[in-house]
Amino acid sequence: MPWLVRQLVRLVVVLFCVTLLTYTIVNILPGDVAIVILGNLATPQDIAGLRADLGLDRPMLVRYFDWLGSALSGDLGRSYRSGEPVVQAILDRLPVSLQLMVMAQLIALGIAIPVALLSVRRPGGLFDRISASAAFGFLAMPNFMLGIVLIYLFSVTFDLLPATGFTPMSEGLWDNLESMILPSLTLGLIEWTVLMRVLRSDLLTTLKEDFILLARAKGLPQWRVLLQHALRPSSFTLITILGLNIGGLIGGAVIVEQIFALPGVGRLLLGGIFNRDLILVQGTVAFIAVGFVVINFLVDMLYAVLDPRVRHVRFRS
Amino acid sequence: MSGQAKSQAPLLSVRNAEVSFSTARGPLRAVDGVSFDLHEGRTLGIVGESGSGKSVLVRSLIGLVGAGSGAGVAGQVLFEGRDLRGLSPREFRGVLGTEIGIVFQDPMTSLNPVMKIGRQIGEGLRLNRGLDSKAAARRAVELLSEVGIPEPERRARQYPHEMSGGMRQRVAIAIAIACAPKLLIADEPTTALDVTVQRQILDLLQREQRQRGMAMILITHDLGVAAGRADDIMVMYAGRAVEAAATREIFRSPRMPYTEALLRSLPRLTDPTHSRLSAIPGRPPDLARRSGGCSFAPRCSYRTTQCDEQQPVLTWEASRGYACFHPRGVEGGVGA
Repeated sequence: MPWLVRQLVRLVVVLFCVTLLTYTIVNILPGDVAIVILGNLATPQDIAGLRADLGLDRPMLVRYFDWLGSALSGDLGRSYRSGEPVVQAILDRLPVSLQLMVMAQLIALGIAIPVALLSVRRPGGLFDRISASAAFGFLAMPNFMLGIVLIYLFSVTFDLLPATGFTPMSEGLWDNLESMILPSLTLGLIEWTVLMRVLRSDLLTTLKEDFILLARAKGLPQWRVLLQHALRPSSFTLITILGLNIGGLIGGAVIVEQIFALPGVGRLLLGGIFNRDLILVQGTVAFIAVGFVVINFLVDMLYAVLDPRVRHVRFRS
Repeated sequence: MSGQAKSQAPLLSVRNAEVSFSTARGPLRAVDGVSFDLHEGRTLGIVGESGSGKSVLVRSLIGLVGAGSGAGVAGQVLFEGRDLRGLSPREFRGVLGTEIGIVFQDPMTSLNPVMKIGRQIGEGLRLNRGLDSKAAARRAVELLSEVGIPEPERRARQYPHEMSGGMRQRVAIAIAIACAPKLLIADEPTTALDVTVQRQILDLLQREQRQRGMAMILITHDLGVAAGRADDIMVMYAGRAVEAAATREIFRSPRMPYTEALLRSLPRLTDPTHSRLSAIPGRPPDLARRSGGCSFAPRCSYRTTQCDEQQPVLTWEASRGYACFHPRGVEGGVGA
């Protein structure tokens, strides 16, 4: 099967499984959106009436396929709670989440790549051991705790950055960045550890290759050997992990957006869960799943950019 | 070789080269006190079986063994009278980049898979000869055509995986000679190639060497390869030089029983058909557990108690040296 078709089939299967699972789980959850909307004092008749209005009285599977049908045409329905179209609600909050994740990844890569390069200069040396310990320390730290530590350090103690809240880019780039630095750091400082470890181990393997010896024999200094010869062929696992970690990053973003009061997709999702706003949760999860699969699809394309051999196999034969 | 009377100083002079690795089973001496001289324009064949230390020896001379691998390197290496081991890293890289070229065994792994051929050839020129990228690219195309690659302009823009093994080895040779070195090291340059291509590559190496007046170290496990190409041969066994002489003398009358056994194990056209090849019994010794005696003794048919107790040193007799108590073809030797 051609590569592209395989990717598309994968996308469809993933989406189907994810949405069905979400639908089931949210339905099993105790609680009812009708009660959330009408309050605890509502009469059973009122609740039953609202449920009928929202279409909640129909069997679950019927509702699911109904939803799936319109989702495929791009309509994710309207929030039970606010009546706002789900697609609109997501698109409004998407820029915040995207910025958070891009900045977090940049921070993670910005730490991981130099640290990995420096630690393979002398494996087992002082820098290598310190960076390994630091990585395990950060990896062991839950992100909500790291977020609070960062707020304490940068906002409370030194008063350098705002603790919570979000400033849109339209109100000034610096103000916007200021409000995003701590949340991105919270995610990035945990994310870099895994990236650094896989890159370091791939670099060590690459450095044993003959073409590295040949590069040294050309008289290239160590840093040029590392940057120009070793880094690119060592980055394939890094790229894979980068794609797969998007899932973890989205999960982290849900929590981090909550801690820093950022109006992102994660907070939208969390609010939906608290309100038993099934249709909103469903739409958001489906959107995230598509995002995840699409990003990994793009990551796969990136291999071809990095490795001419992949290009050869995939696009010429 | 050391014994040869040469008026000028040798290009490369190695004294008591040692390389040891620390392993879980204790220190392992991969190269143990090897000395040799190489003069300008000459070819030295270093012959030995796998694990005899020939590659490690040569790589240690040019600093490609050591840093980071936990290897201990000792001995003196003089290149044009300069002590290579005493140079600063920067000076050393300068010598390595301009004066010494190396071709590795496997062209599948010795070229960077994600870098275009032309750039890999031009890289050294830009760094060591100060060429700008355009001039380096032009020179890379010239070098490709010099090593016999058709359509050099197109090939320069390709990646290694788009070429055959023989072509890649030609590219590796182009890289090695790019900066016009005085010494070319060929580390089993044909072992990974098809038999039909082996000869072409050896011819190319020899042609380049003659045209440019380079000295060459040809490392091989195949005496047949060294036979027609090397002026002198040094035979290595278990990390030591066990015999060194002019090539024709080695072939005419080997002194060391190991060399003799190697020669006997070469198939000959004059052999009757279907006759068995002669093999050397036993296995090379465990370098982490050296005995006090001759390393080859357990496999040697002329072994005496002296061989088990004392380690023979490389002694020189006229223009040739051997490390053996019972040299072949000599008064007093077993085979005399």
